Parts: sequence; C-alpha cells; structure tokens
Amino acid sequence: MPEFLQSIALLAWVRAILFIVAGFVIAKLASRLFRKLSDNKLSTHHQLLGSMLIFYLLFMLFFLSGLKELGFSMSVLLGAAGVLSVAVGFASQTSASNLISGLFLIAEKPFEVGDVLKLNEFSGEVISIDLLSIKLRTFDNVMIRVPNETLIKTTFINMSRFPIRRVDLVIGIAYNEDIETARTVLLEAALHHPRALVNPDPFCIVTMFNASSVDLQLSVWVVRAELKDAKSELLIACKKALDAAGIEIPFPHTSMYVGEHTKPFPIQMVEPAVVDKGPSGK
Amino acid sequence: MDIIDQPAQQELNLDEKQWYSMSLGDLTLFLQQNGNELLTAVSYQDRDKPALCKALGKIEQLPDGVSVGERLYSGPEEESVYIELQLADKPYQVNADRPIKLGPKGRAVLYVSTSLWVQLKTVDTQKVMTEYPAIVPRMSWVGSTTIEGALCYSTKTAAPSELSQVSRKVHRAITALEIVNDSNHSPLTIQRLSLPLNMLSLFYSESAGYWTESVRFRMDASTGETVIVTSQKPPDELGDCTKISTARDSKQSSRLRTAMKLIMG
Repeated sequence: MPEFLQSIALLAWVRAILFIVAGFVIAKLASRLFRKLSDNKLSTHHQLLGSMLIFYLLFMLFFLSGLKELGFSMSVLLGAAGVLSVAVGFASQTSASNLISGLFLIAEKPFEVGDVLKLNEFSGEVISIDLLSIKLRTFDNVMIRVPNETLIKTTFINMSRFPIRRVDLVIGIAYNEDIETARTVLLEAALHHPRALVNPDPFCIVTMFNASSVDLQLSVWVVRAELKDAKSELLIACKKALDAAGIEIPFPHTSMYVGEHTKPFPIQMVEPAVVDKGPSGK
Repeated sequence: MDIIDQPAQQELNLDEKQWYSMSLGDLTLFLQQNGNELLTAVSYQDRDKPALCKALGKIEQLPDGVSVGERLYSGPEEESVYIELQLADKPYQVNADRPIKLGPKGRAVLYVSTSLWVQLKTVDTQKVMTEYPAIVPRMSWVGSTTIEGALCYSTKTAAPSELSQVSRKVHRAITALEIVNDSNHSPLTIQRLSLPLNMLSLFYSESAGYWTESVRFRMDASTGETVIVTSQKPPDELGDCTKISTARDSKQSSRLRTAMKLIMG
C-alpha cells in the first residue's frame, strides 16, 4: 500500500479512537451531571435509569461516528444489527422479558429503593432496582434476586408505601368475662400508649367466638417506622391492662363430658402400686 | 420565673466535670462540660405530675437511673454552645374539647398553647446540636385519608376565647388563632385544626410569657378552601414582645394556601 494511503488509514483510526474515548468521557460526564441535577427531584431508580439512558445513548452516538470514520456504512451496520437482534432476541428471550418488565416497573413505580416488599414467602428491603432484576435484603441479612418478570406477574405487598400503618392485635378473653369492660380496658391501654396515633382513633371490635375465648381485635394506628416496637409494646400494655382489671386471657382448653353433661366425671381412688426402686433408691 | 436568661437564650459557661441540670415541663436536662466535650442526659417525669420549672444549676451527680445520652462536640475550634427555646418541629393538631361551630361569615378568636422544645445550639454557626421536647408529644395524622396527609403532633385544648382565661405556663407558648368562615351560606364545624408551628417564630414578653405570631384561618365551608395567614407578631394587647427564635421552616410567603381537608383532618 502506498505510504500516503497508509497515513490516511492511520488518521482515520486515530479519529475513530478519539471519537470513542471522547464519547465515553462526555457520556460519563453527562450522566453524572444528570444525577447531580436530579438529586432530590427524582427517586433513586429513576435517577439510575435516566443516567444509564443518557450514558448509553451518547456513547452509542459517538461509537457509531467512530465506526463511520473507519469507513463502515451505517446502512450495512443497521441491517446487520437487525439480523443480529432477531438472533439475539431468540437466544435471550428471558433477559429481554426481564428488561421490558423492568422498564414497566420503573414507569409504574410500585416501590422504591428502601421499601420493604413481601413476595411469596420472602420479605425484605429493596436494595437495588436493576434492568433485569431487583435485589432484596431480608431481615436476617440474606440477599434475594427477584427477576423483573416475576414481579410483573406476581402479587407482592409493599409494606412501606404509606407513612402510617394499622396494627391489628387479636386478644382472646374468657367467656365469663364482660366484653364491654374488656373493650374499654383495651381501648384505654391503646389511647394512653405513646406510640399509638391520636388520629386515626384506635378501635376494638369482637371478631369471633373461638373454641376457648371470645376474640377481640384491637386496631391501633402507628408510625410505620415504629411498627415492630409498637406491636410488641402494645401487646405488653394490653396484657398488663387486662391483668390489672382482672380479666382472664384463656389458654386453649377442652371440656370433657361423659355422656350427659350434667353428670360429674367419675373419679375412683385406687391404692398406689408399690414399685421396687432398688438399693440406691432411684 | 425565667427558665433561662435573656430571656430564652443562655450561653453555657459550665465548670469542668460538674453536672448541671435544668427542668422544663416534664423534661429534666443534665449537662456536663468535659474539655471540648459536652455530655447530656435527660429524664422525663410521668405525664400526670405537675410541670417542672427549674433554671440551670449545679447538682452533685446524675440521679439514679439516668445515664449519659449524648456526647456533643461543637466544632473543630472551641465553639461555645447555648440553650434556646423553640417551637415544635412539626405542625400540631389541635383537638378542641368540644366541636366549635361558626355560622356563615362567623369569626372567632381562640387561644391554644403548645409545649416548647429545648435546643442546644452552637453560637457561631447556629447549628442545632440536639433538642428535647419539654413534654413528649403524642403523634397524630392529619389528612383526609390514611394515604394522603402528614404526621404531626397532637394536643387537646379547651381553646378559650378570652385572653384572661388562658392559663400561662412557662413550658408552653400560646398562639392566638382567628378562625373566619368565609362562606355566605354554610356553617362551619371545627373539631380539630393543624397549627403549622414549624413555620412560626417564638416571642417572649416579661408580662405575657411565650407567644407565637397570631394565625388567621380563613375557611370556606362550602368550597373547602382554606387560607392561613400569619401576622408578623403576637396580639397587640400583649405589648412589647421580643422575637427569641425564628421559624424552623422558612416561609415563602405569609399566606399559606392549603386544602381544607388537610387542615381539618
């Protein structure tokens, strides 16, 4: 090859590399700038998605310009990309499905980083929302990866969507106790508890005549962040209040009848059997 | 009795390794200077006991059952710390003992009192190092549903309509609330109001104690629209009042427009 042609080819390579390097730097800076500007305005995962989108779009533009400098025809490249995308699409159906599900999730925004999700038998805090999956950290510090497609298909519960939550405590009282007195005692315990919200008011209803108890449901609104402590403390407060009022919380028991229920259970005293315990007495 | 000097800011000039205490409402605050470290401890008495009021003074040692809560370092250089009284950091939901009804174009002035907070602030940078409420407030929710709204504090009040009936307590600040029913036809019933204390300043007068700016709620019972207007000072009849702490949340304007359902809960 003549020398001047060689120098032209080298120049084209240098220009292409410069395009790609400059594109990388500019795309990185633009995505960082987007993150800074959108701080406190967008949620974490919207920031993440926006910055990734900006980065890849800008970088692809510069990359394609670099390829053009090397003499690649865009129409051929796009044609090849079309054929490739069909092949890649067949090969990566699951990933594509997860990717599209991820975009739907980001648009729908049913949860954010930091929210607590309950999904089938798992519950945990969302630590990252990525294009293919989300990562949950369970309360015993285990990471769970949930594909986005699963989240689109499955019912899940966002435990931390709203700032306040209702704690429902089911408390059984003995059948011979006065239900109205028990309700009053439980409501008083809730009203005076420091973690119970004044508004919405707590309430107490009878839910069931159970096998061993009359079940009352005490419902108290608390601040979401205090839910765990509030539940425990409220149960303790209810137990103390019922004890102080002399109201029995029965444990499960079974009544045995022999034929007619009015007749007492027959008891017969017998002589205790003499057991030889041996020389040690054990 | 003034709880702290001039009239609600007091620079701490504490002897080294000496415990001090001050009490306000249910709160007793303990302080000890340890070189450039300030140790704090707090205790709260039961709610049903009479409110405490004791100026900062030396004590032998921390009472039994009270332990050091925080260790404060005010800054790289020896920046001094002072005590300041402040209003609550969230709105207060004021629950009237009995519903208040205003006829069309009706107007009422009510006086409500809310408990103060004790802050430890740096003198130069005015940073709040720590703060404690004089009375631990109960939390509540203000909003039309359990989805839309905000957390706030709650207080029950008789809301007297005459200044002479207002009981003045050293740990509480009083707010004069003017409620106006703008509707020409519909009467207005008020069970509770959300008082934006985080947007109000604290004033002090030797004769009248602690006050906030007066607040006017203009409510239209028929449309649900509410406009809150804060005046720049407490009621004129109190005489001279000195502003001792500015609002926590800076106001964009003195007119705060919000939905009535948010205000009335």
